[in-house]
Amino acid sequence: MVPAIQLKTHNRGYVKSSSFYMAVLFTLLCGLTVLMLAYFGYYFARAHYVDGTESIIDTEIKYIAQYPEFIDQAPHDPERVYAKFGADGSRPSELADSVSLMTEGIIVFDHTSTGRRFAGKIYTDPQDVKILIGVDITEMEENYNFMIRLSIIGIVMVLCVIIVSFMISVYVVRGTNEIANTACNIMRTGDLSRRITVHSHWDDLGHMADTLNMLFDRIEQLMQGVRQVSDNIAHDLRTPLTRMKVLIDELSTQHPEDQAVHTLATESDRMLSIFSALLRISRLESEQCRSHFQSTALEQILEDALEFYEPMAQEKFITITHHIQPCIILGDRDLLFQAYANILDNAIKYTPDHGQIAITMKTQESKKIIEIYNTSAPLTGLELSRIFERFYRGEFSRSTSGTGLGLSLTQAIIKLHNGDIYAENRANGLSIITIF
Amino acid sequence: MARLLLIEDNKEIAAFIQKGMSEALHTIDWADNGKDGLFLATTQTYDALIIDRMLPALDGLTVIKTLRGSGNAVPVLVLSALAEVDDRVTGLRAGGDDYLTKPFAFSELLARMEVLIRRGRTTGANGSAAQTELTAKDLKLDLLSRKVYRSGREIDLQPREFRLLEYMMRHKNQVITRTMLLEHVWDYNFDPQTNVIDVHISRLRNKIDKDFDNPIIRTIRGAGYTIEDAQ
Repeated sequence: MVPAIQLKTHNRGYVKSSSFYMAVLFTLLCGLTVLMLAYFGYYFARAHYVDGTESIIDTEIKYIAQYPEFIDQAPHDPERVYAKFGADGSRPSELADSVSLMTEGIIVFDHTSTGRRFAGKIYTDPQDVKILIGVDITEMEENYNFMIRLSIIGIVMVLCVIIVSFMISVYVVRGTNEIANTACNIMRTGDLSRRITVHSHWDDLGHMADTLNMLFDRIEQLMQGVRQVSDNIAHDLRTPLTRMKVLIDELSTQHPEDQAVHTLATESDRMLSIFSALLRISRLESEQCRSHFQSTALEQILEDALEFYEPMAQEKFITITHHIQPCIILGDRDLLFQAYANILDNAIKYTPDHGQIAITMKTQESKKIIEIYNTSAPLTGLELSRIFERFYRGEFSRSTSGTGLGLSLTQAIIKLHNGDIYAENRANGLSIITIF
Repeated sequence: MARLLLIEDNKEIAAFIQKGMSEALHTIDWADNGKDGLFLATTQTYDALIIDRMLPALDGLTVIKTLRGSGNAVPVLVLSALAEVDDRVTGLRAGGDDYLTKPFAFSELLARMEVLIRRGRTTGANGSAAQTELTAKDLKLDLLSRKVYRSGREIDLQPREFRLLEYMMRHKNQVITRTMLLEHVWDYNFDPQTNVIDVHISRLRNKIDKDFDNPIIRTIRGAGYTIEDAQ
């Protein structure tokens, strides 16, 4: 019977923020760009350095194959090496012993006399003489290394951009969270004197905080105005109403049997009770006064309320079951009693004869959930959302007594205690659920 | 018959209260501001005071605090247009004995005043001699064994019914209003919206009055209930 509860979280985490998503998106885009650049660079370098060098060597080999005498006649070119291996396979003097010849294709070696780096291939001529043909790649390699360094610097800079963007997003999220939390606190506690702490005045967040603080100033002024007006109404109307009540009382003692006087007295009582209930709700909502709150045993209040209403339930043959566990909350016992008394009063009023009322209480995720179920016809979605409105009364309940303010008062009281209240349809009935 | 002091700045309400109290055979003095009221309260002897909270010159709570500070324990009922519980708590904390919110029925005020007057007299006279038994007509409440007898026959009551009866017996021959019962028997200050109290009373009546000729609990129309006992 107890529902799954969706608890509202007011403290949003960093991960659930637009700034975080922005940062992630930013990182992804940056990373993609780097990958593309790297691939492009690698492709280019390979084409330029490796393939280029190989084609130069291959051209040289073709040339030598055609003009073998070129090796001995060629003018000394420091960027080229043409060296014959000995007939016994001994290496030419240019090629150090440490260079492995096992690899196929291009071999890279340092020239033994100049120390410059060469890339070369070994060509075997028709006389079965092996000739090493090399091209100086020292400068090319330096260029290549320079490009690698450049790429590393590029990657480091992109990383910096990512880190900085994360830091900015964390800063923004912290700032907006602080603003949102303060606003939430003001809403929940009703303490309109609170303000957002402004850390800086140069950025958007500071500007936003300043603006919101000005808004709070304005709301505070307006609320004070409203309270002033309602206090004035209370003061100005209560006295004449008291006077009227006294007069009617007097009248009814003089004419105890007069039906008209009796009706007058009942009507004036009803008017007064609507009047004070309205004033009470608006004061509870606007003042949010919690200074006198004390640790209160909620289970005691529920049991007392049940016991108080039990005879009324018995008159309608309603079965009441309850499952109540100890539960301490900070609150005002009179107000809490009023809140649950109103719910029970309503429940008994709308439960058909021989119906059922069930009270369950449980703790879920450190929240205390109290559900009061009663047998009744299901309500429409619109009715469910409206039963806490002032003066709202159900379709078929217009004929029954009551002011239509009971559940509004309950809602005001529960909200004052930082609780939530809502109604839900259940099997063959309706549940009013309060959560602290 | 008691001597009362009313400190209330609204002339019309003051006039109604004065009129009503005189009809109930009480003598009542009236001050329309806190300063004069405090002067009267300290120089004269009263059985009980009715003090409005919002007064010119000196507010009601200050008057009460000053009285209590000087050791004056006269019962005080605080009258106020402020209805919130917090106001009630501050009113009682300042030294008020009871609290009534405007608008009120005169019968409510009168019933509460009678209780205060009676209380002031008993504590003044024989102190708080612990009672072990309450009686009215042929009804007897044994406070030690928590048992109730009517004409010697034991009647079985629920604990709350016993408390209800006990409160009414302690204030027998006084009118007890429904809100007084709520405050003292259920110990909650709230507005029950429906006549639940009447249902409780009728259940109690069913147990103690049903089989007997002369009923113990009497309904006072427009005011509340009373238990009558020849004194």
